[in-house]
Amino acid sequence: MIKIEDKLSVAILSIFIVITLFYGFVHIFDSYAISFIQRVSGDTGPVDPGTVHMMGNVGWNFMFISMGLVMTLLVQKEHGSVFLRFLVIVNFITAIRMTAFYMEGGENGIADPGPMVMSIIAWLAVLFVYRRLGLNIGTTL
Amino acid sequence: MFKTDDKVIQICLFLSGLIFMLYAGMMAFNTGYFLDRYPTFDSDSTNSYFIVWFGLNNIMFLSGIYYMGYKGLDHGFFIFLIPATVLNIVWIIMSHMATGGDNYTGLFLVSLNLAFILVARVRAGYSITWTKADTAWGTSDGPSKMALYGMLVLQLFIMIGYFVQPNGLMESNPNLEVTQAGSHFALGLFFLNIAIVIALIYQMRVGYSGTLITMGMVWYTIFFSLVIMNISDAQGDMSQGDPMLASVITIGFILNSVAFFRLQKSF
Repeated sequence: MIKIEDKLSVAILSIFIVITLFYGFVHIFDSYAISFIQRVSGDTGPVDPGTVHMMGNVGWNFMFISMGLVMTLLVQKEHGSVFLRFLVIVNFITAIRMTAFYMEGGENGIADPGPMVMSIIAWLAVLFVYRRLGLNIGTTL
Repeated sequence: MFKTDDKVIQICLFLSGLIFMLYAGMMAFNTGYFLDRYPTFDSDSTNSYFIVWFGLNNIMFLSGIYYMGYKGLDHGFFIFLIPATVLNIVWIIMSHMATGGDNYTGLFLVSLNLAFILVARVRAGYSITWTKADTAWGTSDGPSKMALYGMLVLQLFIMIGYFVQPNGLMESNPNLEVTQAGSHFALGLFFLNIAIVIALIYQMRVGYSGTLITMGMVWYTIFFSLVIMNISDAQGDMSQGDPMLASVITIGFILNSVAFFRLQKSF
């Protein structure tokens, strides 16, 4: 069923599926979304309903990524190369953004280091899989 | 699609998948709308909790149809889903008898779904008898066998647990209350538990089914991610959840993962 033959890559991608589902549900279900935004912002005050609604949209993007990861597991690695390349770039940009938000701190930033740490780990993990499967352009491992 | 040229089977399973998708989307992700459709349901946390749970179960059913769409029809799917759907109809009728009935859409759609599944099952021409495999679970792989036996023991543990403490799910969770509707939802989950035990016994005799193990993997992955979510949200205060339920889901996730990853090459 799983077409990728490298066991470590399969393990990392499988863990990635669980984590993206976890983030998806955290953003989609309102009570968890409110709890999450209060914790990362360090502000325990009421959360704007529009923000919660937008978080639901972000959550669905996480769900779509988990579906893409399942699809990647089920095809030959060459067929999933563009999606993995996309994930490397998306997670790289997200890691930079989360780092910048954490460094900013205060009212406009993110008080909790969790999103920064997780986004950096996600970027490194997907980059590791991408290189390990020999999908990176211009180099031969 | 479904590796068959029989258009009736294709159409029946496609429509069945649409019904599962409808209920998965509505119950898991638009719970407020679902509660509005049933005036006798209180919009409390206990009802919302179980409705989301039932919605996520529909994602598991849907995953089986998607799986067969690509991989071909599987007798195991029908062995599981027919008892599950019949028991679901019994459960809905019992619910109507208890409340007086206020919305028959669910009863109609689930009955229609059963008809679609039965038509597909009959046209697929599977035998009524379960041909015994050479070895239990149809594999000689020790860890996979142990994992599958473990899953059967786990389901029997859940089944016995229901008889000992029917409202245990609510009594063990400080966020939930023991209500009449909540008890009925717990009965619905017990009915699903019966269908899962039937499916596991079938696999023990006939051999493992890629469809059923994959469906279990989908369910456990979703629920394990919810367990992580709840632990994360609790911020170290573990008194606000149900440690027994979280443990059962985690153990099930590990067992199903062992069976799935060790056997998936032959799916």
